[in-house]
Amino acid sequence: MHMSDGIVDAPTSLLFAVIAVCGLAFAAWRAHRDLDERAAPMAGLVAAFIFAVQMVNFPIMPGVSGHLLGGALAAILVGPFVGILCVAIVLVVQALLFADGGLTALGTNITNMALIGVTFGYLVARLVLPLVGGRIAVVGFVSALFATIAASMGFVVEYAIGGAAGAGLGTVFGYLLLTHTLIGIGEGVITAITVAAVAGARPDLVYLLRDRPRDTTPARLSLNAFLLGLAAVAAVVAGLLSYVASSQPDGLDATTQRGCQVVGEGQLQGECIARHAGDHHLAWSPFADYTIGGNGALTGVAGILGVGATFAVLFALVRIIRARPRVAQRR
Amino acid sequence: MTAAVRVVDLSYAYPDGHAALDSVSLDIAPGERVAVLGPNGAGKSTLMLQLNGVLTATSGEVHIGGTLLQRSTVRTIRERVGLVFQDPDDQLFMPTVAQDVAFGPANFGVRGDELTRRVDEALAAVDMTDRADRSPTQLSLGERRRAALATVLACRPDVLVLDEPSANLDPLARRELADVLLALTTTIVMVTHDLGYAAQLCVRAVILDGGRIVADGPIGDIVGDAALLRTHRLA
Amino acid sequence: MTGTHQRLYLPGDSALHRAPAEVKIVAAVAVVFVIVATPRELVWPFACYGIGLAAVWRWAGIPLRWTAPRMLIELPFVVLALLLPFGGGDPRIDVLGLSLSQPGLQAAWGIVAKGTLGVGVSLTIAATTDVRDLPGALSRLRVPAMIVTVVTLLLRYVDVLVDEAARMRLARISRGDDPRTLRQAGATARGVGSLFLRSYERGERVHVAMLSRGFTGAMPEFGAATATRVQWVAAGAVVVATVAVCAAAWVTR
Repeated sequence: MHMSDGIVDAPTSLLFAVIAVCGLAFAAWRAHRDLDERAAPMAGLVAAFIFAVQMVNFPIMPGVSGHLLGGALAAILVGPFVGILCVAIVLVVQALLFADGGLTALGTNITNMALIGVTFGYLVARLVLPLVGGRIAVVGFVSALFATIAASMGFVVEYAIGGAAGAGLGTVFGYLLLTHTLIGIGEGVITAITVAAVAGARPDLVYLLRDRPRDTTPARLSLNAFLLGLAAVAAVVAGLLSYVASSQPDGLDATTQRGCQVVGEGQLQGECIARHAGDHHLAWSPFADYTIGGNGALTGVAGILGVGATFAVLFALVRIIRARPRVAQRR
Repeated sequence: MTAAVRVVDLSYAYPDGHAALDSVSLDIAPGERVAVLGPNGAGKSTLMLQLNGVLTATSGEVHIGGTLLQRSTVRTIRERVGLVFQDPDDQLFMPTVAQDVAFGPANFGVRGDELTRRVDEALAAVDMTDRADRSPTQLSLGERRRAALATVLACRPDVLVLDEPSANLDPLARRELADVLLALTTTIVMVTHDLGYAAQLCVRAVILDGGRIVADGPIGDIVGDAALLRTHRLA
Repeated sequence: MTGTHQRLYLPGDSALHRAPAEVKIVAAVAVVFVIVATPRELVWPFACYGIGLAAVWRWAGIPLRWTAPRMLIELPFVVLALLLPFGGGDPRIDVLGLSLSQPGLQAAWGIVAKGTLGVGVSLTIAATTDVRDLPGALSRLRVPAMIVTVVTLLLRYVDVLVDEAARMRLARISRGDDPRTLRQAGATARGVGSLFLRSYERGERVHVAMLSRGFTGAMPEFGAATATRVQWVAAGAVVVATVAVCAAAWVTR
């Protein structure tokens, strides 16, 4: 969904505008490096295709319809860099000429749908392809579903940072997860059939299926470098944002603490749900409450470690999968 | 007199090995109008793309106005050889016709007043001056064909290569285009199936079949030889 | 979701229509940022913005019955806004017998007010800007040439692709398919695949055509800036007025 103005505050909108510009610049640079002067006409036509394809509507609930976003589709067909370029530019044109998506929300929309959506779509596709014996339709479905949900989670993060001090974060999370799972399924179906159709007619035009004629080492390096870069960016952003994030209890805490007063160092007085909550079994761990040793000022470091741990796991997964013997995967 | 176009033993094979052109040799004098006839798959479009270096020959040479086509001369050659493709929508990619016409010369370094002059000249040559600020979507097919021609004429090429210029045009549009082409003095190479149009506009015809030149002579002789045309699937 | 057939350009002859696109874009982005930065606890600043916007519409000849239906694009977020008062945090107040969250209510008001005004401003740009003017405006705003090229080609070819898609659909219907039923989703998606192939191949042909006319990666200039001092000053005045309202709101809240 295209976010409208006013859902996140001005500083958050600006922050994500900067993130969007950086991501777009990187994608444009890589696309140009891979395709030379061919990048612009190719991206132009694929962007026109994505724009045209976004007019495919499907109903997901009474009164609410989702439309194809095309992030995972673009990632599979033309790769992550041209894909990011195309989706981002489609969003810009929609905001400026079609009043679709707030002008201040362009940064967040590009971050969610172009950067997160396309990147996730591509990574999931790469991971899943060898696991399903090259069945591109399954790859298309799974990557589109995950990309759509991931993009909506970006929205949730942005709302947590800059949306009405997090009031109703739970509501926002629930609404977005529900709607985007449904949208993701629809998008998954269309993506699956579309990539299967293209791969059936011209597999040489599908970026994901591109053969790597030289040995796989450069390919492995580039995927790992890509993931490293992603992890680094995510870590920095998470670290910065943890500092910025308020230490007010979020919606969930607020609900569970209703009826109690917070006295002193996190002690509760009165009658409420939180007093009766058992200690989380990781309460002893350094990561409890996202701080290290109870020191709030190290929230940022904890954030970085959290993100880093996630990506370390992702890395390991990728390496394990790629190290599997490549049996008869050539077309 | 240096030939406008000299092709010497040109061969070209696609990356998958399929041979599209086989030892093609051709000499075209300045100002001459030559029709390149041939069935589908004969290699006509491939030959076109060899003339301005978009495709590189596997063996053989192309000389344009005496200059050998190679990496260092590609840019000069592209200014001298203007290609007009079959689908005008592939060549009109700017928001307005005037901007499309300016695209070519601007890329070759023409600026300011000189650029404006070239654009006006080219539009006048195709009789589209009053439609300069229209978007291509607002033009008819015939108008788009003429606009595409203007985008190439603005570069002031020595050689004009046209791919099926009359395809899908209604009789009026055909006549208007013919008038424009007849008024030009550039060397013209016209790739076409349309024997009548070729006969109207060209003096010489070459038949390309299976990547080889199988006939070369005055247009009257070629078009009048029914057996020859049938053998090469032109009639 | 809008498409090219629902182009939002409303031809007219107001000063706003004549203003170069880059001036309008810069002013609009600035104004909406200021609106978003306005504290949501108040109502009067948003009323001021609304009156200002309505005045601009009047001046530019944009009728309310044209804008009203197009504001519905915002609907999914109005739905979200409606949910927030129920799910938000403390403190809660009672409205018509329902226990609603006060921060939730404020968040909802913020979304509805700012979102609506944002759509209004975006519609103003869309209504007064011809699609053909966007690439030039972007290049004068120093957007990198590659991005401008992609925007140019997107705007030029989306109509062509939509027409091709319509023709494919017509061909399918003529053979007895009904594209509206769910069973035909497969055929629709295969049509999408076919459209991709055509787009890709056209991209290759456009690339060849560009190369043949000397393209080496840099787009030639789109023409000098035509924005006058007066136009920039007028745009600046609008932004300053908006900032003044916002500042007053912060001071008096």
